[in-house]
Order: sequence, then structure tokens, then C-alpha cells
Amino acid sequence: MFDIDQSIIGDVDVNLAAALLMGGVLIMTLWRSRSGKKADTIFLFMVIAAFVGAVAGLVIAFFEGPESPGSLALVVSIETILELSITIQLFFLLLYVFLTIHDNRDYLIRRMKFYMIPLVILIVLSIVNIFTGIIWYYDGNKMYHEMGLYTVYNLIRYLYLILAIYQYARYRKENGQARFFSIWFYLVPILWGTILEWVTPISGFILGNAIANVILFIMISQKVGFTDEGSGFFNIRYLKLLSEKIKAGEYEPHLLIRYHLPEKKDLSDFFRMLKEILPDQCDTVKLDDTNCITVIYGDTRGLINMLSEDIRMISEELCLNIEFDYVVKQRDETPVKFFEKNVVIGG
Amino acid sequence: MKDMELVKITEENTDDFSKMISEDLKCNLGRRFFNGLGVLDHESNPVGAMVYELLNYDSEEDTKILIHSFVSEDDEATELLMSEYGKAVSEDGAVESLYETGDEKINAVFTSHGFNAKQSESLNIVVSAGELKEVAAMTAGKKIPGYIHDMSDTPPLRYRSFLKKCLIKGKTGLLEDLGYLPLSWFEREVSICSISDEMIDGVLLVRKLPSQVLVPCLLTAFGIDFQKNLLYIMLQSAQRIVELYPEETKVVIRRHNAGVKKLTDKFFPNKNGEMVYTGKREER
Repeated sequence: MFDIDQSIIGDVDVNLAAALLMGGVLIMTLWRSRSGKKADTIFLFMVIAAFVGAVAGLVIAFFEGPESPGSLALVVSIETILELSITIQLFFLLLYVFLTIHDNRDYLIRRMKFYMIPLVILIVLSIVNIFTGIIWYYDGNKMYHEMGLYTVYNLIRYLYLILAIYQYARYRKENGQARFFSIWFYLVPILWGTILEWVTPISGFILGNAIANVILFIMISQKVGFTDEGSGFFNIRYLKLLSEKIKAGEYEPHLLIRYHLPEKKDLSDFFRMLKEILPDQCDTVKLDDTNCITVIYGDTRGLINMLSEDIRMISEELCLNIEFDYVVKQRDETPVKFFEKNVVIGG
Repeated sequence: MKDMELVKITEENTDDFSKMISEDLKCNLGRRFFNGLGVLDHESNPVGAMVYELLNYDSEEDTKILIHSFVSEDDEATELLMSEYGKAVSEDGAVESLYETGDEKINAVFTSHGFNAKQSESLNIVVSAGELKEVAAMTAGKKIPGYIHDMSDTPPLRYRSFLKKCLIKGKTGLLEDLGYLPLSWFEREVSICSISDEMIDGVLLVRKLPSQVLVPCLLTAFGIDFQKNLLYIMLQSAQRIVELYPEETKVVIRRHNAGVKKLTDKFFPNKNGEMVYTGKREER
């Protein structure tokens, strides 16, 4: 039997730091208000799995080694939980990336069988390993050893990471940058942790993973600062960011809808219905209590008729006097010029 | 004696020009970007008519005009029509006029008015429902998923949401006025869509002309499965046409872009369009 004989005694400080970071992210995720998006629920599951892994990594540091308390069975169980939590977390990462970029449950369901295959294989292998030690094992001194199959096990697990990168890259190629999300910020700490674990006896992966989750959480939370609580649309702070993105060529506005909202009216139903009728390729910004704009990307002149009918229809249905007008980008106008001419930032 | 009179042909007076405008074209005259010009002689008899369509009018791209039909019984009527057409071109800001005709005389009229013409294969190919049966049989092994439906029961709001997506992505197929057409304008039983998350993410919209000819007007799909879904949508539509129409029913496919051309080359390798004259004139 091929034995890599790479004993890693968990570094308590590193594992404690990872567990604390993940605990913090978990608490913040639970506390954070929900946007109602499907990806949010998956993110919570992902954080729970990462937290369980970090805690397991911390706990096992106390039970490994000949001098440590606890039985061999206990150490094996905790290590199994640790390994499975990493696998499950990466599985949820793929689901999270998928739902973040596509926001479509059916697309995911149609792929679920395929996505489940590595997970099922790894769960079965983990269970078999408990009794056979074919992937990793603890010797009589409760020292950890990896077998050659561990590399294969890891590769199967990293399939999720590769699929997540593939989905993200494909989406970016077809649709441009996803809002408030980038997979690269998540990958860098993971890769750093993995390399650290290869070259040192420190449990770098757990720490790298925790840092990746913190970064991802911060990235997602950024959106909250730009969101108007009452309407769920962006707030005026977003205009500056939007202007930068337009200057950078990430978005090309072609059409602007300006709404004049009635004062002292409950507009929650209007905002909800407006979200339903607006196309995906737009941003709506609530400027103040009575003014709101929608910036639409793409050559959209043909939309004016349909959107006018829809906005009038929901205004009538809700008995609200919503005034609105359009500004269309002229053929010889650049998107930047069009935006700057019609939207006063900070005004 | 009264001079010849130039009139706009609208939905109201199309019947006056029924000998000059085909029934299939007549029904387009109420549409957003279609225009008709007619000439009446001193006895108010129609002696000339032309129908044209503005292309890219609802877009930031340059506006062009496609002349669908031109009929004239004498030179005076021809000059009147071409002169009025020239005015319309400049009013609409079109940069180019285009036509496709199988009629040598009409081609001569256009070339004498500054159009450059050449003979080439028509973009249209005509297949029969019987030939579609062969296509459906070729792919009989493919199981069409349950999320591919015909559009008989498609709620209008769901259709409108999809239209917005098409318009924003510039996918309007043969229909410049896609955003203005109701779902009922299409033959809903052979128009097929793919659904995900209760939203349409792909369609094949088929129009039945008054002459009973079927015309696929828009084939497009979005989302992660778009390539797969396009194939399923086409197959389902072909199967429905085979089921619902006699074998001799004509289906006219206009190969207006490289994607459609590739598909028709694949499914109908031996089909060619008729030889026609295609011409264009710079308008600026």
C-alpha cells in the first residue's frame, strides 16, 4: 500500500482563527436581511458547511497525536466530518455561483443529477474510508496519514471548483461582469491556503477557505449599502458606482426612464410590480421620495411602447398617478455622454 | 381631365389595390413599419402601387428600407411612385433602399432609378410540410423535454416579458415590429417555446399567411441551455406542423442571417432559393 506519510498536526491557532472567522460570517449571514433571491439560501448552507469544517478542524487539533485525549474512533469521526464539510461546501459553492449568475431554479434542477454525482461518490468513499482507511487513516498513535487515493478524492472534490469557475467564466463572456460578485476574489485565498498546506504543516486550506468566505460575504454585503430599503431598488449612492462602470465600458445605457412618484403614498406594490415588468438588463435607482430612474442597457428603442403600456397599466391598477418620461440615447451620442447629460450625480 | 393621384395605401383602402398587392402583403399594411403608396388614374382606377418596410427604425442602427412590392401600369405612375418614395426615404432618414424581385421588368424600373442590381439566389426557400416530416423522422430518437410547449396557452404577460428580452438583445427575427405584435398574430399551435422558472427563454414564432403559407418569423433562445433548446423547439414545431397541416402546405423560410442559413443547409441540403434580382441604392 502506498503511504504518503504526510502527518499534519493541526495548528490550533490557525484553526481557531478559521473557526472564529466562519462563526462571524455565519452570524452575520443569519442576521443580514434576505433579498429573497434563491442564491441567498444556498450561501447560508455554504457558510454553515464551512463553519462546521472550521470547527471540526479546530476540535481535531486537540485530539490528534499520541498524548491527546479521546479515542481513535472520535478522531476518525471528526476528520470524516471535516472532509465531508469541505466537499459539501464546494458543492454549495457551485450551486451558489450558478444561482447568482443565472437566478434560475429550473436550469439548476436540470443539471442537478450531474452535479450530484461527485458528491455521492465522495460521500460513499468517505463512509468506506472509515472502515478501510483507503483514502486516509489514523495510526495507533492517532497520527494522520494520507493514501495515494486522497489525491483522486481531492481532484473529484475540486471538480466543483472547476465547474463553478467554468459557469462564471461562461456567463462573463456572454453577459459581462456579474453585479457584486466575482469568483476570483474567492479563489485566491483558497489557492493560497492549499499551497500553504502543501508546503508547510499548517492547515492552510481551512484558513484560506474561511478568508474566502469572509471576502465573499463582504462582496455580497456591498450591495446592501447601495440598496434602498423601501423599494428594493438601488439608492442614490449607487449612481456614482454606476457612472464609474459606464465610464469603464461595463454597461452601455441606451434608454432612461424618469418617474415622478406621488408624495405620501404607499408605493411598495408599485415597486414590486415595476420589478416584474422591467427587463433584466437595467438598473433602477430611487433618487429621493419623489424621483426614480431606470437605466436600460442595450439598443432598446423598441421597448418604449411596451414599457409605457406596462407602467400605465400598473399605475392604473394601483390607482396611482405615476408620471414618467423617456430619454433615448441619440445615434451619435456615446453612452457616457448620454448618462452624464441626463443623470446628475450627487444632485 | 384630372391628373393621376397619389394616395397612401392603408388598411382602409387596401381593397382598392387588391389586384396589385398580394393578399399576404395586404395584411401587413396595418403594421408599424409597413407603408404603401398607390397611384389612381383620372377615373380613380389603381394604376400603380408599392409596399415597403422600414428596417432598424426602432434601433440605433442606420434605417434602411426594404421594398416588398412594386407594380405599375404606366410610366407616369412609375415616376409618381418613385418620386414620392424618394421623399419618404428622406423623411424617414433611411440610408439605403433594398429590393428582391423575380420580375425582370420591375428590376429594370429600379435600375433606371439608380439601383444597382445583381442576380442571385433568393433568401427564401420553400419547403413542404411533407419535407418537414422527413426532418422530424431524421431526429426521431431525440426525446423532447416537457418544458417545450406550443404557445396555445401562453399567458400574454409571459409572452411580453420574453419580447422585452428579445428587443433588448436585438433579436427580432424577420419582425421589425415584434414589440407591437400580439401573440394572436402568430399561429399559436405551431409556435413553440421553452419555459424555465415559469418564464419563456426560447421561441419559434410561426405566422400563417392568408394564402395558408407558414412563415417562421423568429427563432431565438436565451439562457444556459439555449443551443439545446433551439433544436428541441424546431423539432417540436416541425412535428406540430406535420400533425396539423396537409403534406402540401408550404413553409417559407427566409435565410436572413448566417444562423438560419446554417440550419437550412443542414436540414434541407438540396433546397435552393429561386434566382431573383436583388438591388440596392444608397440614399445619402
